[in-house]
Amino acid sequence: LRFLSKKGAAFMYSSLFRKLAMGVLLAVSIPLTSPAVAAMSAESPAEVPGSLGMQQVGVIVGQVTDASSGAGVSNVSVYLVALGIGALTNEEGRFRLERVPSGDHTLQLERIGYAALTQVVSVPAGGTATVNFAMQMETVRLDEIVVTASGEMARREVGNVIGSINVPTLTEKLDFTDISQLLSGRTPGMQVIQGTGTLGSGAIVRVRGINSMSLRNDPLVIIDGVRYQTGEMVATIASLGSTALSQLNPNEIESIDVIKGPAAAALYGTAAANGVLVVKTKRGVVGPTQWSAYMTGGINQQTADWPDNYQSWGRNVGQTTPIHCRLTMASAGTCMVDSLTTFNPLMNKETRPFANQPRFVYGLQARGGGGPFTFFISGEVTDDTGPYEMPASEVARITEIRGSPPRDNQIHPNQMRQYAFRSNFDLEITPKARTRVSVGYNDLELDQPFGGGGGYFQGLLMQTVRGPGYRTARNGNAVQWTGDILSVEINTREKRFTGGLTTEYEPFPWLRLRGTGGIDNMSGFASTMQVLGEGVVTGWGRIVGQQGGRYVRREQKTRYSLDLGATATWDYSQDLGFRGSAGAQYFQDQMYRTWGDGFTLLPGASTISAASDRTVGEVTAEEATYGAYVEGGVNYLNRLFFTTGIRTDKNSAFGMRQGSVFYPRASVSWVVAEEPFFPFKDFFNDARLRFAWGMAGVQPSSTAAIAFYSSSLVPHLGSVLPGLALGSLGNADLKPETTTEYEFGLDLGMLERRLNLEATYFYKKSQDALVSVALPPSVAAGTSQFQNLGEVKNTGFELAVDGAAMRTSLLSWDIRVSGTFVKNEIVSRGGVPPTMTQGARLVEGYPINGLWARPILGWNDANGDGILTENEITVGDTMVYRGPQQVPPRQFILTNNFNFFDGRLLLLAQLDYNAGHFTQWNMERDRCGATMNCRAVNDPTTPLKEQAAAVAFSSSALGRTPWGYMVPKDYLRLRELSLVASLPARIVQALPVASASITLAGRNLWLLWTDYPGLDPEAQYTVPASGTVIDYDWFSEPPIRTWSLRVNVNF
Amino acid sequence: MRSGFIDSHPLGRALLVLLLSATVGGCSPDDLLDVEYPDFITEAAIGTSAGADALRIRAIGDFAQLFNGNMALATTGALWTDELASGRQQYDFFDNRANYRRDWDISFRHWSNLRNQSLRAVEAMTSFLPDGPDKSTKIGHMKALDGLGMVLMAEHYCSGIPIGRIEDGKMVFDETPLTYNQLFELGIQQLDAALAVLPQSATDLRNLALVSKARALLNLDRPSEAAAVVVSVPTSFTWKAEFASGAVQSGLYDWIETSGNYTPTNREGNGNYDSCDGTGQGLPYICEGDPRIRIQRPHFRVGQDGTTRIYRLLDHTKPNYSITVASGIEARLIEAEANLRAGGSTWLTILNGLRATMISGLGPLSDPGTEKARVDLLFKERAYWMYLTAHRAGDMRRLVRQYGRQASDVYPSGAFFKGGTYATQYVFEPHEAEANRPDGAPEFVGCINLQI
Repeated sequence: LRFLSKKGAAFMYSSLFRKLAMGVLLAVSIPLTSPAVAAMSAESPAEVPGSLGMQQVGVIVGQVTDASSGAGVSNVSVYLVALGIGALTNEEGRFRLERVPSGDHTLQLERIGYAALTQVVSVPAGGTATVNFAMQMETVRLDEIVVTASGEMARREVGNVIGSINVPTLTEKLDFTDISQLLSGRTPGMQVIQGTGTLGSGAIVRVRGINSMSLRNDPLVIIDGVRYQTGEMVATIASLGSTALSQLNPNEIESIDVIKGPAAAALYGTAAANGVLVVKTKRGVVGPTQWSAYMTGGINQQTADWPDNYQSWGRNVGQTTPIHCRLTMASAGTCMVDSLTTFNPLMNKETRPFANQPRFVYGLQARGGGGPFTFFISGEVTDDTGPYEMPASEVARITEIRGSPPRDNQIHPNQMRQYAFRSNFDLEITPKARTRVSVGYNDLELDQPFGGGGGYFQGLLMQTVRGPGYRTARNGNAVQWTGDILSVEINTREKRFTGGLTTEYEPFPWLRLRGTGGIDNMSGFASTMQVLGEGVVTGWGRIVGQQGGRYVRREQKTRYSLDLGATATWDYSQDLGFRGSAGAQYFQDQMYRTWGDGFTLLPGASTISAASDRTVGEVTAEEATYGAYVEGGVNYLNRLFFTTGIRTDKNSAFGMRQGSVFYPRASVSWVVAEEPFFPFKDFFNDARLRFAWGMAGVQPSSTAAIAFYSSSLVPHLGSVLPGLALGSLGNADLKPETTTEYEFGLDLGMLERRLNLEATYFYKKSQDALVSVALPPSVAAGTSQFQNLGEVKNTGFELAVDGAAMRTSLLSWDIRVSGTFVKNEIVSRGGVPPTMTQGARLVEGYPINGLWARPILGWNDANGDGILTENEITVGDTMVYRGPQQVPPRQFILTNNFNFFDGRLLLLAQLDYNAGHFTQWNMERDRCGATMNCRAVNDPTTPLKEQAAAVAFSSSALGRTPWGYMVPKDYLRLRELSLVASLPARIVQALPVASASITLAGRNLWLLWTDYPGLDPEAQYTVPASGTVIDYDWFSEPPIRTWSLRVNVNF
Repeated sequence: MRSGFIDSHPLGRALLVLLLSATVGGCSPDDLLDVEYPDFITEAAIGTSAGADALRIRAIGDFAQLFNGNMALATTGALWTDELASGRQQYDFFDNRANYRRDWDISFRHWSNLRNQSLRAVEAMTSFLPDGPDKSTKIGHMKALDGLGMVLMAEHYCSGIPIGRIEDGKMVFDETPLTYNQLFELGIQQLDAALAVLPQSATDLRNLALVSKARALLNLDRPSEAAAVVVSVPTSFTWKAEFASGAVQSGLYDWIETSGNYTPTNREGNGNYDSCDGTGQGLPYICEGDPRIRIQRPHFRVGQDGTTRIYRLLDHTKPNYSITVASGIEARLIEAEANLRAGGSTWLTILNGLRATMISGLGPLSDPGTEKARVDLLFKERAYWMYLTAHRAGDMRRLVRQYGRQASDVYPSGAFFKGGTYATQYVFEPHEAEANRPDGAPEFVGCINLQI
């Protein structure tokens, strides 16, 4: 809140934060014990309410409405600046402040998206003051509070663009199932790549492109001041990919600020080069306890139109034995085609393993407080079932074999139960000191279908999409039964605790100290289990035809955060002010994992202890960072702001010869519209120019710098003994990748702020990029070594346009266009040559993992038989660049918000357009080049383009080029559609509720257009965590479509 | 008073800043970066007898990996020749000998590991093990494996095999790669060194070194010297590489039994892979029902391509079955070949002696009468006695190099049974990553030549 932020002045930095911590603690303890300070506090009116009699206090009530539509505006922060008393408006925009001392008070109103309001209110002793407000929408939010590394600041003071997401207004209207959905399309420059169509698979977030060829490109996430772990969930069986970010419950979040690049993130230091998401969870407000309950019921759907499997039947010349006679063989005359059959085990209703499944969410929240204490408490239960179901034919088959039906988690192999709790408490210790406690707990239990463990020819989709084109004994599968595959149970249990304690102390009006300590702990257990006698599924374990096996993994990941800072201000004159900040941080990551597996289980056994073939393992990884920063700023006339600062970091993952690294930054923000000379004041309500420059880093993996020997087991003389070998050369000179960014921007507000524009150009270059250099095998020192050799560049343009398209008493229509243009380029590989393999490559002058292949130049069906053979296709001699992949270079999000009947009925729709990128359509490539069950190699009516792709990939003479399967995946999708109806006031008044609404929301809806020839442009095998992981369509389900009906009730 | 001064006067603020800075200054923050790496074993741990022994154990594992680990010589060499065919879905360049992707070359990495590891183990054992027969045996063991590894590599790879190592943390390379003949010679040197250090009591290891040396000499076309080397090796001798589930797992088990990727063959070549009536150049490993090649018939599954029939190899149905690397049978076969090359008459007696005494169910062979047929018979006997033991690739090369056969008559050729034709590359190439050498190191550009 704004009354917590204000200004500061220079405070000298010291890197030795531990003593700084002691200093802060001492400073905090002073007001608790010092009589002088206590006496001073007694003079403060903020401490008066609790001691006043009823005749000396009054009540303020009122309603806040949208100035344009007249609809009530919820979640407006209404507070008395001097007293620290505040409340949030309810769904109808109503608020109530109790126990307000009589007299005149300044009431301030703030809400993201609206211009702040201030008004003096007279409160009668023992009476009620009623005051109503009409707030103007304000898309360019120059006076809004945003979070930076050195504390909260007004947006106008910051020389960077910071994307802000007001979460409560979205969660009730769109019913997110996952945090990634909340982030998708909300701010330019932040791109969310969907996970696969299985519950528990994670999406990824990329901010301003891909910085690193070798390291993870995830942004840093900070929740209530505590660093939150992203990346993989601790214990998930990795084949489906997952992200720990998905454990963050959107319904608990108040706001998310997106700090997009090093120009803004420099003071976050090492780990911040990929941007920073600053998350604030909901907090309590003074006043009567406000209860909110919500319930969601919905369905999950898998709507993909899966391809048919084909088989062209024939016989060799002069023989009668039926064989698979492919088109090219028939064209060559080696066999003759008799018939063509097709079968589709994923679409045939007797064999289809997909079905619509339910999802339920129940949540209850309370917020309130009195005197110096406020609270927010939230609990949520999710019971979600992924869109899988063992087909009835398989249930019957298994029931007959086992004598009992499959268990529920085998029939419905993708289930998720999640319990999320949050308790946030704020305590005003003295008028000058307050402390905040934030505690989140999440308990996740997840079942996932057997995806094959990342191996070849395994898992549900491999077995079905690679089926032979007729209904075999295994119901059209390749070699394994669907029921047996789904009988392999994959379970993950993950508990997460995130807690933080923040204390702020303002010993003097010009100095504010703060300290945050926190912990984010994930504790997980995962298992894969195949019970003895429940089928044979090749593809995991070590023993063919194994009868029972189990894999278990237990893991703990903990991140400790300590963040200390001070901000001071000095108003030299009315026109000129200075602001200074200093801070120090310490972070430590710990990961402890043990795993074991056992195969050939005994009857009735369900632990690896009962297995005859067992292995175990243990992994430990620790990493620590300390750093500190100083920052100084100058404010001239509250419209010209200059800020500069520097941060230094040292990290345990750096090489032993690498010292501290430094990340400087500087920014300028000029609210030019407030200059007297600005000539277009009638047209532009707001105009701001901004520029920022800064550096940030990403540290190498925790052990990349270390030379070490590794152990492995060796059978010798009938025993298995441990042996040692040089595992890695290490790199004593290893240092972080450092990204430098320049950012220029313009913010405009026009037509009484009904049209607002935010435009930003950025240029950032990652230097000392880590390149995994393949080592010559002859030296036997591991396969590769990370070296700081490369350079990667990202340039781009971001555009956000908000407009009030229509304002009538019946309908208000708001439009938001969010555009992202980003170009990624490897500037240098440091002299390390790229691989010569066709596919995704790291080539200088081209994007990270751009696609390369020998091009198919043309084809000519010379003999006119409708079948292409290799001598009828022309392929280029050398590889050429096909296009970029991973994140789309161009993205437009169009969000429409239709508001009917003064807000009683809302219709929201979001269109998502992505363009300019390619992918490897490897599923079809594999079906045509290996399984030989695709249409292009079996059906003579297949278009020649598809035949050319298949033949070229299968032909050594044509270089086995995958060119025909490197395909564009531009698309336009209706991402979100939501209809929200608020209960009319007369009905609300008749019920014991303050407000209520019903939301019907759909997500991942219709693909309105695409040039992608495969299943779905968003189907991808894995989520590309780092530059080294390649995105491709490989037997993966497209994202789940969900429909939800959500009821929100506020008491 | 205090707050007034500090609050109102810039000097007061500066004073406060200085006080706070003094509070937090003065200790070493690097202590905060002390983290644990318990998974990693540092150089210091190697400098003990236990560490030296652990290096030795790993070298034994490296040999097992080279011989029959994942995509090791016993598997890839068998695909390359006529011993196995691929039932994989995707194109198998080993089976087709086409478009050979060097980045798939795992064996070269295994061999480099073996060579460097055995050298490190010998160095460590020399320093840290107490003198005595145990130390000599262990050092001799390392040298014998190193020498045999060179023989295996020279049998499969082109001329142009690079040698590198780590010295004082830096990569060091020999100036020029070795031809395969140079590698055979180097292998003989190492095997002689093993024999020099191995005590007489280490009978099996000495026999391993002798058979391996003879094998190298045979490849160098010095059959009489080879025969002389193995004369003392008893026919009953066998030396096996060990495998275990969860440790070094048998590659043949993985790729045939577990995953159904590969299958034994019958007369592979000319479009055939398992028909007894085929006209391929390969040997009829399945249909003759020879007891030396224990194959379950009919096939037990189809390959991952959905069509190729996969036959079960009964000697490779478990991940921990040991596999013979060298034996007294091989010693007698070397003697038989030397005799045949010398125009002698005992070669057939030797072959029939083995058939009569070392296995049941085989009748005696008769002399086919012609020189070519005698060679064919001898090499068939070698192929059957030493099926899937990484001998066949070397034998095929010797048939071309030493016996003047056409490669297209020796290797499966003509139409490939999955479409297209067999390619004409007959030797493996070192891993292309070998070119990634630091500045100043001798450049590696690949094979000197691809001659058989």
